[in-house]
Amino acid sequence: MSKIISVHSFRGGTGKSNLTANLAVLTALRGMRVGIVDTDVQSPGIHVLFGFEEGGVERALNDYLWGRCAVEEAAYDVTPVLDGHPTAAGAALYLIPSSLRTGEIARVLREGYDVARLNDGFRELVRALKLDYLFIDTHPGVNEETLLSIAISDALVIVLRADHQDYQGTAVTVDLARRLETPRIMLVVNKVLAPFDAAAVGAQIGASYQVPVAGVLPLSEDIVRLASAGVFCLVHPQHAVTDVLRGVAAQLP
Amino acid sequence: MKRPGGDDMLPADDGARDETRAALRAQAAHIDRLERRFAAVVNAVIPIGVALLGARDYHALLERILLEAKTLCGADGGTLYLRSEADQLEFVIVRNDSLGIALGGSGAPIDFPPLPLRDAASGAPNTANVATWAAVNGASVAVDDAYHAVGFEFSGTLAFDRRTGYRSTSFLAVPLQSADGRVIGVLQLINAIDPDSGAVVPFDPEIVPVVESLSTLAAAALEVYLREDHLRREIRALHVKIDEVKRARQVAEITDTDYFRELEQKARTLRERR
Repeated sequence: MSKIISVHSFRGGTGKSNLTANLAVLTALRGMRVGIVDTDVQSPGIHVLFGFEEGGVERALNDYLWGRCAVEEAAYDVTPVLDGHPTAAGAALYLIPSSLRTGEIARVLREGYDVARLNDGFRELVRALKLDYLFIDTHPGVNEETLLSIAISDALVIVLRADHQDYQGTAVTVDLARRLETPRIMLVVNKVLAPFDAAAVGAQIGASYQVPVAGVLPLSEDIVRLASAGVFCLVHPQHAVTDVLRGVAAQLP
Repeated sequence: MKRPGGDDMLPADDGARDETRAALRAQAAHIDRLERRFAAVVNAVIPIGVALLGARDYHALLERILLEAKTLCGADGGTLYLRSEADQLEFVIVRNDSLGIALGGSGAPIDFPPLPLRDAASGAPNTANVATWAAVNGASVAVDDAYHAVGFEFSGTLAFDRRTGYRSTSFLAVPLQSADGRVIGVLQLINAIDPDSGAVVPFDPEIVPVVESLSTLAAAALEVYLREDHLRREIRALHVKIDEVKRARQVAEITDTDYFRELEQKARTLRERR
């Protein structure tokens, strides 16, 4: 059966989209059929990691939400990004971006959209593209759309930084996910200053939330240097950060 | 008669010839000393520096700095002082081979009072001890015999000797300076031992620059350690503090909505419907 994985963070700037892209790619490399939906319709961004520019996105999730197309018509086959990497047979990777057109973004902000339609869209995508995994890159914070994503997910990955504001917001998200009975909740701590204390940071945070910490990622110069110009695990397959990402991907259901 | 070799170059006059020979010998000895110093830096100081930079245990690092310096100049004893926030030199590691003393680090705790770097009343720099002199001036200082030293105060040393029966003679104090020139501590070595006779001798002036090189690397290693330690403590201080009252209120604000209640009821069905 297919799995839906939501990647969420309470605040922006945690590296949520980067983590989503990496987990999706690492899962696809195992020979899985994987889709990524950018539901961050107010500030889309994951398409950049796959080399899309503003003009390059013709159909987007927005078109489906306004009833202008079927959801699978907004899916871009980005499997070729896996070329040159050891990939198990059957791998496929699709991206459903959000529209980058400011008019579209403004419409979402002004009118909102039918969240129930989003749910139908997820199910339709899984069916039409025969997906093993659907990764949802959610909007930061809590709104109807993120709650829906959390409610329908088999696993929720919450990304946070080791700072007070993220701690508080993460606590709220964890409580909401428990109320919605999300089967798996895991934390990924990102942008940790000193890599040598990763274990201590992870242990402390895991104990505080009573939620497993699937990985602790350092604030890496190499990530900063890549500057969202690619998917990190594909650019740096031998990197220590990629090893941590693989560890997180391995803990997904 | 024509003689082979370099003497062709020597003046004909015997007196002048001897003088030139002496000058050449002195120059050869100088080159020999430079070579030995170079070898000491390359073969001893640099590998020690690299090892120090990787240190993960602070006390072991401090101990190693002193022991390596002691070995390098064949000293019987030595002290590593670190400058405290109160502007004093605190005894951190003390070692003396012939007395079998090992204090600080892996040894027993040290209860020697710290050496103030300033006079408490006047605020004037304290240069009475060799260690404080080195710290205040940011320069090395050697004393051949503490009992006949002029300009330094050795009452602490003399009291130590009376108590232990030791004879503190030659001293070398080298400041530990950070890259920006700040003195963070002092290495003080006592009683250089002549490796052949075993007698206590003055510190060889040739070894001073080598110990200074070591102290520069030691200071860098200490700074790296302290910076990392500071970061570690900062991270440990980043306790996961959650305002539970606020958390409950924020959660309630969301869960009390009709949308959430409806979603809560539907969540399981939504997951199962796929």
